Amino acid sequence: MISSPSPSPSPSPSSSRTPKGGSATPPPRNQASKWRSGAVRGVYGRRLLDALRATGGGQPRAVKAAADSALALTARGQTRWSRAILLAGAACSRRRVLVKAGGKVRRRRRPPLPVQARDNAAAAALLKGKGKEKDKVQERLRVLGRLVPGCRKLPAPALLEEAADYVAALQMQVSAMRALTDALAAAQLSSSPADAEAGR
Amino acid sequence: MRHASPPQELPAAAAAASGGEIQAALAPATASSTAAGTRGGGGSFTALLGLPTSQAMELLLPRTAPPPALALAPAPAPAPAPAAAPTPTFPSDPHLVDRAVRFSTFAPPSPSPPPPPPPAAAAAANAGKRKAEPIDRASKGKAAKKGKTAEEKPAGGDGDDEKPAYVHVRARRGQATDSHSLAERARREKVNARMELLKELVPGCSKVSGTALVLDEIINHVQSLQRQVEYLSMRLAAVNPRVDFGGLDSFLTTECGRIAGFNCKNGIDLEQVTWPEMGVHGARQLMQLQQQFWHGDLAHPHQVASQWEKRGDGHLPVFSNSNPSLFGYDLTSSGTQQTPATKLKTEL
Repeated sequence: MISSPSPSPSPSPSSSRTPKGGSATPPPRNQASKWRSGAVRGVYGRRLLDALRATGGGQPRAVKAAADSALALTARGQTRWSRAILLAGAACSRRRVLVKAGGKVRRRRRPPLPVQARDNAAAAALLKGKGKEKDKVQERLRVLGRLVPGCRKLPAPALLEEAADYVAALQMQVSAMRALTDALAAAQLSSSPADAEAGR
Repeated sequence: MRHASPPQELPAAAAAASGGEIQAALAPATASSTAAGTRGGGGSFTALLGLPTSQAMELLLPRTAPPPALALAPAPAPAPAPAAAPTPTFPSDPHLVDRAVRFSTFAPPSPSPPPPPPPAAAAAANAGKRKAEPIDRASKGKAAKKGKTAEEKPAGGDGDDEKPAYVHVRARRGQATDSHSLAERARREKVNARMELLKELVPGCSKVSGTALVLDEIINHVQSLQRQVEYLSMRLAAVNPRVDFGGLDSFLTTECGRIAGFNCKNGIDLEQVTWPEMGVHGARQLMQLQQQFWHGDLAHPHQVASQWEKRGDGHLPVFSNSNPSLFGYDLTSSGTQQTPATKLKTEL
């Protein structure tokens, strides 16, 4: 049922347009809210525990790999970095399984990749600074691309979006692991004297 | 006549209208709202282009209320532009028509819309692009208003696949309006929006101004987070060998206490089944299965943990057996697990 024509329709389209920033992609979601919900923490906690059970023991590298894979799983493969982590785990030993194909599977955006790749230098540089400052920004963007897994050759807007999601995910990972270690340490402390007593 | 039809009917009718049948439907019934009703649905303004002018205009011009734009989108109620209804403009020059098709601008409205054929097409094309705002702004009389036709994102969102995708950018007063600068401005806004997100995420970035410094902060933050993960994993590895994973239930409940427990019959099967799958198939299947798995997991978060505790020994060995396949991607797992996965799909 159409309401009577009023000014109200126009603010809503325009206000709904502003957060999108005129982008051709779906609006950048609020990554922090996505990664801070209790449900996600629960999912990640469970996956982390499974991964930890699977690891062969007290090797920090294995634990870190397990934690990262669990994090990437929790990300549901919707982001590049999560896919890159999972595929890195998958392709480590044997045949490099379809890395590129796997990376393009669940794109939620239309991927004008050639255009983006071509415009990368232009987009990142032209829009982020003037004169010599472009280089600094470019350099930092490249460093950021190296830090975020699977995002080396990404153009600026996609890279920033991936970085935002990655930062939020990392924060959740750190807090979850910290809670886990504290809980385990506390449980261990409380249980080991009891065991010692029972054993005696 | 059409004009007598109640305003509310038109949007519904236009929304119901689908492409292609318009001409056929229009031929018998000239101006009845029922004809409009049979015309079929959104997104088919191209069909309007083939309409005879007067009928197209009738379709486009409800005298009383909303808009021609309905013909297009899955008529989201707020979308249609009221102001456009009485007087959309019809440029008569062909090159203007061409521009009008690409740009979402309207000339100052004329009292009596002349009906030459191409303007009808232009009007249809223009009207179809959900122009609440351009109409309002055109009516404000700003000069030098121009905008690229936008990527269609109607409020419904997923109605139309036929519309071309453009980027909608509104030029402001005093700004260059050629397509290059518009494109640059669109890109800049995109990047700036994401930078804003990042700045909110990373603590201590709000007081820093300048992109390079903000990026510096972000890089430092990411590095520090990664170092923390390494440190915590080392601690966890130190704690791990002596823990029997017995008290995990308490940990999970504290971590995610407020998650509602859904009813889950197959919480365990989900995980037993999907993990071996990953080794066998390609990455694409991996993603599909993982998606299913995640859907299931999120639907039954709490039950799974309790079921683990209950199943105890019977479950854990199987689980730890299949788990290495996730991380080591052991390719020797059989392909016969496909049926449980398909069953998984249907259950989800």
